[in-house]
Amino acid sequence: MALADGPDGDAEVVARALADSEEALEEIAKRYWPRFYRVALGILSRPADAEDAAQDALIRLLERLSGFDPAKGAFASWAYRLAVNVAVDRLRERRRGGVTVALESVAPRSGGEDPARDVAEQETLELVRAAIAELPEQQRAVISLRDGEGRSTSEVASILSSTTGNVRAQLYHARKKVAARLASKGKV
Amino acid sequence: MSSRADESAVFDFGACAEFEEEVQRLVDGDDVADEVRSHVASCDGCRRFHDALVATRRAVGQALAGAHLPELPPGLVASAHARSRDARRARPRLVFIGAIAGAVGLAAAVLVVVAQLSGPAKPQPVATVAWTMGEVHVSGPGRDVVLLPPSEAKESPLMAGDVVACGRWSGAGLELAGGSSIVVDSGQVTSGRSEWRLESGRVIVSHAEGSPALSVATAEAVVTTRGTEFEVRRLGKRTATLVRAGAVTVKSAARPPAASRVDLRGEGEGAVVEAGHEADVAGGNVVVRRIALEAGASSAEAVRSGAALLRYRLSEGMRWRWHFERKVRFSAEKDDPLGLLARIFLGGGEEEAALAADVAFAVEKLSGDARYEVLVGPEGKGVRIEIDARGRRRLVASEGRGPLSEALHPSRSFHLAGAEVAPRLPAEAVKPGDSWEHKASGTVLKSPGNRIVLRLDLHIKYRLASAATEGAGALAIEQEIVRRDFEIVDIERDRVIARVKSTGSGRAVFDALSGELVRSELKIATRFSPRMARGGRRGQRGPEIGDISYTETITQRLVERAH
Repeated sequence: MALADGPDGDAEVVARALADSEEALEEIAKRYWPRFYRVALGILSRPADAEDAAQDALIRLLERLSGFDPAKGAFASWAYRLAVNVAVDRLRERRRGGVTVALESVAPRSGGEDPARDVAEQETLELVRAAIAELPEQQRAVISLRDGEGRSTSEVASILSSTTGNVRAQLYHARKKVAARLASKGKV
Repeated sequence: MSSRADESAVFDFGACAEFEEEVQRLVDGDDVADEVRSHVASCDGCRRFHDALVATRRAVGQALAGAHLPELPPGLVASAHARSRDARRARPRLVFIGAIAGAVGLAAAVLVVVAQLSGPAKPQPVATVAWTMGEVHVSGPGRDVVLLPPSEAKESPLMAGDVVACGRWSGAGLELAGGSSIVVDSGQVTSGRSEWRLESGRVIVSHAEGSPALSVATAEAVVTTRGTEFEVRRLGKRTATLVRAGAVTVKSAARPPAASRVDLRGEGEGAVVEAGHEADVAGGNVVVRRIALEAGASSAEAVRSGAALLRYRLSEGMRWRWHFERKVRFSAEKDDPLGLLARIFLGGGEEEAALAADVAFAVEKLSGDARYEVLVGPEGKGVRIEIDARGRRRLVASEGRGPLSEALHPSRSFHLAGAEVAPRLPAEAVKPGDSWEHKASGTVLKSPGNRIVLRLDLHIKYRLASAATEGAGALAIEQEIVRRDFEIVDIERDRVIARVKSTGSGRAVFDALSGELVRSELKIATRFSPRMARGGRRGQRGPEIGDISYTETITQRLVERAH
C-alpha cells in the first residue's frame, strides 16, 4: 500500500523500512530518537527515566513498524502516540513507588558550546521544567507536544486520541500554570 | 497538592476572564474575532497575559529542546531489526496455520486420536530454557531460527536436534530432566536425548546424581558424565574438558586415547578425568593434567568466558565481599588550605593516609526484563546500581559515606550516564603478551542543589601477563592507566571547579574457572588542579590555590563469595 506523505516526510523512509531495509530503520531511529526523548522528558522530568522511556518507545516503534496502518493517520502521530504511552506508563509506575530516586536536574548543553550561557536564562529553563513536572500527566503530554515539539493542536488531538477542544483546554490550563510560576519569579 | 501547583490560582495577570481562552487562540495563531485583537491591544491585563503565554510557549520549547540529548544506543536498531524480522518470519506460518485450522480441524482431531492409539508417542522436549542473556537463537528440524530474548526465553522447550546458538558475550541456561543442567556460553550446541554436540564455545554441565548418563561430543572428543560438574570447550581443533567435581570419561572421537602425560588412568576406551584436572583432546590424543596452568590459550579462554558468564549468571542473593586498602601520599604543602581539604577528602592524616575497609557487593533484586539492582557497600548501606537488560548501568542511590557521595549532594542520589567502565577481557586476549585497550567516557549528574557534574574520561591499556599456578588456576593481567581524568563542573555557572588527572599501572589476577577478579594492586599518580576562584570566571584560578599531587596504592582482594 502506498503511504500518503505527511508534513514530516516519513512516507518514503517508512516504506523502505517496511521492505526490510535496516538503513531505513536507522534513519527513522535518528529522526525519532530526539523527538521521543524530548516528549518523554516533558512527561517524566528526569533525564534518566526519559532516556529509558525513549529507548523503549523506539524499540517498540521499530519492532512494530509492520503494525502501522496509514489509513488510521500519519506515521508521526502513530509514533508520538507510542512514545507518550510509554512515558505515561512509566510515570504511573513511578508514582506507584517503582522508582525511588530524587528528582535529578536536566543537564544543559555544556562542554564549551556556549560557555557564556546566562545564569538567569538557565534558571528560567530549570523553572519551566520544574513547573511542567507539577502538571497532571495529560497536561504534561499536551504542552510537551504542542510547545515542546511544535505539533499543531489537531495533531496533538490525533496523537492523544482526543478532541481539539479538549487539547486546547488542557493546553490553556497547562500554560497558565507554567506562566504563573514564571511570573511569580519575575521571569515573564 | 503542592502550593506551587496552585500558583496559577494566586498569580493574577489581570486578564479578563471572558477573554483568557481567546487570548490563547491568538497566541497559537488560530482564527479569532477582530474584537479579541482590539481588546488585547487595549487591555493591560489581557496583553500581559498574552505576552506571558508567548514567553511561556517559547520557554517550554527551549527547556525541552535545550536539554542534553543522550546518544542513540548503538546496536539498538540492528537488534530491533533482527527481532522484527524473526517475528515476520514466524507470522506467515501462524497465519497459514490459522487459515487451514478450521478446514482441517476435524481431520486433525481424528489424526491425533489415531496417533495416540497406534502411532509413536509425541516427542517430549529434552530440555527447557531457564534463562538467556544477550543474543541467543534457537533453530532445529522444521523450525525457523528464533531469537530468544531474556524476557521470553524462560521455559521454552528444546527438542532433540534443536540448535542453540549464543553470540559473543551471550549465554543460555538449560534444564534437563532429572535436575541436570547445561550452560551454553558464547557458542553453539545441538541438543540430544543423551548426547549433546558442541560445535563451538563452551558448555558447563552439572549432572544430577541418579539422572540418566549424559555426554558432550565434539569433533575431537566425547565426554561422558560419571556424576559430576564439568565444562567442555572447543578452541579451534582442540577440545578441553575441565572437571570441577566428580569425574568424567574422555575419549577421542578419532581413536582410543593414545597418550597422556600426567595422571591419566585409562578405563575402557576412555580416560577417567577427575576433579581438578583438565583433559585436552587434539589430533586423536588425550592429555590429562592437573589444572596448574602452564600459560596459554586455554586458561585465557576460560577467564574470558568466565567473565562473560559472570556478567550474565546473576541471581538474587549472590554476594561478594572485598577487602580494600588505599594508601595515599601527598606532596601538597601542609599549610596549603586546599591541600588540607584534599587530605580530609581523601581520608585524613597529614602527609600519608591509609584506609582499609571491607565492602560487600550483593545482587538484591532481579526483575523479569533482566533489570537488577546491586548494592555495593558494607552491611546494607552503599551505592545502589541498577543494570538493565542492555547492560547499561545507573547509580540510583548512594547511602554510603564515600567521598563521591558526600561530595555530590546531601540527598546522596545521583545518576551515572555514559559508557560502562568495567574492563572486559576481549576474545583476542588468548595468550601471554596479547594486549588490548579500554576507553570510556561518562558523566555523573547530580540532583538540584549543588548542581555539580563529574565528567569522566578513561583510557586503560591491558596486557595478558601470564597464567599463574595458584589454586585451580589464575591469570594475571597487567594494566596501564594511560589516562583517568575527572572534571568537576558547576553546571549552574557552567564552570569547571577542578580537574583531576591520573596515570598509573598495576596487576590483576583472575580466577581461571569463574573468571572473577581475585585481587589487584594499582599504583596511581594524581594531580588535583583547582579551577575555582573567588568571584572569578570560568577557567580562572585563584592565585592562592595551587595544584596538589598525590600517589596512591589501591589493593583489593576477594574475601568471601556466596552464590
